[in-house]
Amino acid sequence: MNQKSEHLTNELLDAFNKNTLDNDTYLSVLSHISSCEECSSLYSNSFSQTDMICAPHYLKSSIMDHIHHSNEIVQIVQKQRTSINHQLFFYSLKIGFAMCGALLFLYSGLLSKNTNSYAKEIPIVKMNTIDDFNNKLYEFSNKLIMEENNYDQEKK
Amino acid sequence: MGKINRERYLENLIDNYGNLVFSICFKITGEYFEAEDLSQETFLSVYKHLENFDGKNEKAWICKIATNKCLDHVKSAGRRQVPTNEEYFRQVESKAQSPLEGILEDEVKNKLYTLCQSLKPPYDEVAIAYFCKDLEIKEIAKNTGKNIKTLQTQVYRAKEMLRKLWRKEYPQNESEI
Repeated sequence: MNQKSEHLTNELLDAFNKNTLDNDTYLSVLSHISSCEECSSLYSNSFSQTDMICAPHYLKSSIMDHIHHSNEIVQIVQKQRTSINHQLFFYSLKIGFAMCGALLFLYSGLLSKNTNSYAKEIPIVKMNTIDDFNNKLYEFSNKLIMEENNYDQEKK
Repeated sequence: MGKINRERYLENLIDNYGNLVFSICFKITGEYFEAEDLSQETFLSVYKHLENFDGKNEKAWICKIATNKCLDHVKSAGRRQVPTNEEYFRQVESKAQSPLEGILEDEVKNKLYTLCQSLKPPYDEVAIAYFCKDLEIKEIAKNTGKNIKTLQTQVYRAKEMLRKLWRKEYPQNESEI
């Protein structure tokens, strides 16, 4: 049977239903039914009441449970994604505000005003006093060294 | 189509074509629990592709999906059932003798009942109640006083045992493809 161009004949469908076809033909018929709407319609209509078997009573509930379960998983994943996006958004917002504040503070002249006022308030330390202090320390250390040398010589 | 509408539409499809899809799957695979799995896969696929459905011939569309699932199964299993002449004539004869509704179904239910009986306790009792008497787990829990979780586990295990038993007790005349 040409799988695409030819449709199923009643004889072939009958043989398929009775399961008397060889493997290759059986598979090609099954493959054709699964791809051709016309023949799948013919096949579905060939099922009589005697061929019908009641589906298990739990089939519907198990399918619906499966769908609900997968929907729940999708919702959880979406929630996680949105929470991550929210966190990123708020973090970016905070950083943005901080940067804007810093820039405003820098360019508003507030900083320079303050620095000038602080500069006025800070007393200028005279360098002379520091130099005097250093000299005195130097002299004191020299004296100590000299005395130590004298003491050593006296001992000898 | 909204999510709730899609679910309602699917429920409607299962009500209308559940038996047909299960019958197709059973006829092609010859195994009760494989047919159940394939039917479930078929309707999940239907739900997934509802947007692509043109709405013209839903019976043919569902049948197409079901046969497609069966084809995949047959190919992956690398075998299919081929009845012997003796078996085939027995089937034809039994149909010819009593052209009443539900002959095949009775045969399948009898096979299932026999297998359920052959299970070890407590699985036999649970399996008969769930698979043959079509009782819900809540009802079984009410009747037996057992915990629902315990019953769910027992049903799951019983199903796996029955699946193996079905293959063993009612082997199809498998031929390599």
